[in-house]
Amino acid sequence: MILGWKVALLNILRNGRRSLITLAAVIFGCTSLIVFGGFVQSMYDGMRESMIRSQLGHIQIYAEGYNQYGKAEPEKYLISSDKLEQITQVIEEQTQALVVAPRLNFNGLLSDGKQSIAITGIGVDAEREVLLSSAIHIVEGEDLFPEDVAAAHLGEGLFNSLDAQVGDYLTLLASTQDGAINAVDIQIAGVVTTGVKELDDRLLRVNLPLAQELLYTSDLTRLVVLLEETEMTDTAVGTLRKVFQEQDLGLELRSWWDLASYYHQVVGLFNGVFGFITVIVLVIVALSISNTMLMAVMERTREIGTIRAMGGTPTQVVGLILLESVFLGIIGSLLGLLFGVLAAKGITYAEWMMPRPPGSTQDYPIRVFVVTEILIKTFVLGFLISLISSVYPAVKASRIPVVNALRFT
Amino acid sequence: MLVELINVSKRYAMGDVWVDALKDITLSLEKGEFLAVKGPSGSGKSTLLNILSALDQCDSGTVQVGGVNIGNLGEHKRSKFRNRHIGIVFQSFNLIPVLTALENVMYPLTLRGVKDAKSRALQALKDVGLEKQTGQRPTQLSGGQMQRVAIARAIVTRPDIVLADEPTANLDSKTSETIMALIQKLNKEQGITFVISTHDDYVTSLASRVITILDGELVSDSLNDHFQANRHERANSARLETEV
Ligand SMILES: Nc1ncnc2c1ncn2[C@@H]1O[C@H](COP(=O)(O)OP(=O)(O)OP(=O)(O)O)[C@@H](O)[C@H]1O
Ligand SMILES: [Mg+2]
Repeated sequence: MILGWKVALLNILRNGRRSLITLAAVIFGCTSLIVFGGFVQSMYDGMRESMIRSQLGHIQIYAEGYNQYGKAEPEKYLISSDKLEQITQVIEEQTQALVVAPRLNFNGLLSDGKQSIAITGIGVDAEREVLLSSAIHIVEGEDLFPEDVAAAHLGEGLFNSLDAQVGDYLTLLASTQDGAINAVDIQIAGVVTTGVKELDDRLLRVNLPLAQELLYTSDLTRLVVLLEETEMTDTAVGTLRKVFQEQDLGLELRSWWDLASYYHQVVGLFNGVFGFITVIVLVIVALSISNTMLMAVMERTREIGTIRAMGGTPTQVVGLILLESVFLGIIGSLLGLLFGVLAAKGITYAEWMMPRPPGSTQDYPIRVFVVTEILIKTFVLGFLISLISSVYPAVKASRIPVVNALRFT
Repeated sequence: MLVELINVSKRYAMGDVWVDALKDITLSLEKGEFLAVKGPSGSGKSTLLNILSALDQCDSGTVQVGGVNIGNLGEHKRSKFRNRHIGIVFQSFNLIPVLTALENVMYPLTLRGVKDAKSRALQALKDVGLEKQTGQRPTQLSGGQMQRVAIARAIVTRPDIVLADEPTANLDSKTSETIMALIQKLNKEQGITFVISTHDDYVTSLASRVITILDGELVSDSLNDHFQANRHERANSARLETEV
């Protein structure tokens, strides 16, 4: 019914105030969803990348069985140093990895002479680790260099709880592979932050040879692989699994996705929050549209009565009114997308600083991603909400007895 | 028999009291009649027309139009029935403001998806003498022209009967005369059945039959066979009466 379309379109223009309020509501809703959704995405992204680039890497490779039994007997599930070169070569060939960095993990006690503090230690290949852990920031002091045999990086929290200065010597205690207690001296070369407070309170990084000396081993706990892009992880994992099996290397691997339980918790939490906010926004939008629509429709009671008198059925009247909201919904959602994208770009461009998120030790500028998936969802939601919010006014208008509607002035 | 009302009654609640808008009306109408419904304000004219036009339903009695018992129809079927069989002309025209004259006339046809709506609407506009105003919006038309569009809209569906509740009450006397002349012409030339309620004796004088309602009761029903002769005299006296 062409006339129905025309009537709907012209009524949108005629009922300017109603249309503007409805459009504003839809635009408001769409913009909020796009901006908030894009902000949450950027947070996920930032958190993910900082975890990957400070601790996890994209893929970690262990001796077969490490993840299942290594907790109890770590010394039995180590990668032998002899194979390091061969494995590294395989990985680099197969995945175009940027870095393959060996690590030896240990637990120990760090003492400044007065007190001892439990630490989580990592022996690293300093040169490779610089590339891999670009998200680790040096707060004080300098990088680790392989030549400085005793040099160590302390997490900021750990450093603060000790009575020591950069350059001071401390004693590091740990149990060796065969259960004896061993001690080495380390010198504080720098103080670092990973962005994660829990880790900063216990982190100690030393050169790999020192760690190996301390634990009385020449082996490694894991190899950490950094790829060019996080998106390449799945493919690389697939390739490596296959190659490890084919070449019978006795290795297993985990991707950052498997390892980042904290990331998944935060994402889960924020998705919940985002869902809740989405519902609130939608309810606000729905109420304001419904209210405006109801007023607009009531103002047109007489016209509706006339259509009914000419033989328009209640269903047809509902259809006519919903048609108007379909138009308003489409226009509003499109404008909403436009505004949302502009707002997202604007906020990112302005580089406002974010209040520090819990568990984090650094400030970030607010970034809002423009995510296609969110745009599509928002458009659909904006459209649907304006349609659904109009159902009640439309049905109500169609139910007014014709005689009363015609009498309406 | 085109229309048959048997013992039709209708009451309205006014707070605690019931008002009898129509009491036991029995009335029948042949195709091609031009019936005027007279009666003072509040006597029940509009109520009667609303029931005849399937806009409203009676409390008791039966109403048949074109052999269909419209008292038994649900909301949806009554709408369809109105669309096919009834034409309605309102006192205040009730055109759809955003549409042109032509589109207004097409509207009832498009409601049921008629293919040649446009050509039929053009013909109807021609019948009411508005072939030149087809593209104008209601706001660009005079009152008389708006009522012509409304009449075209009522006849475009070729209804069994056209009901007009005081169609000239919002028009000046000169325009009223031309509108009434048009209705009379449509009645005579196209055989369209009209029922018109009015306070105006001039309108009454043009009808072929006049009924009078008083307090919801049908008090007189007479054929108007000499209306042509007394037309002007009646018109003048009626106008004096209503102006007082
Ligand atoms: N919807 C309604 N609710 C309550 N009472 C009504 C309603 N419609 C009509 N009435 C009452 O029914 C009676 C008949 O009204 P109706 O409108 O049919 O009279 P009328 O002859 O058309 O009057 P007028 O010449 O003023 O148009 C009046 O007493 C009126 O108050
Ligand atoms: Mg009346």
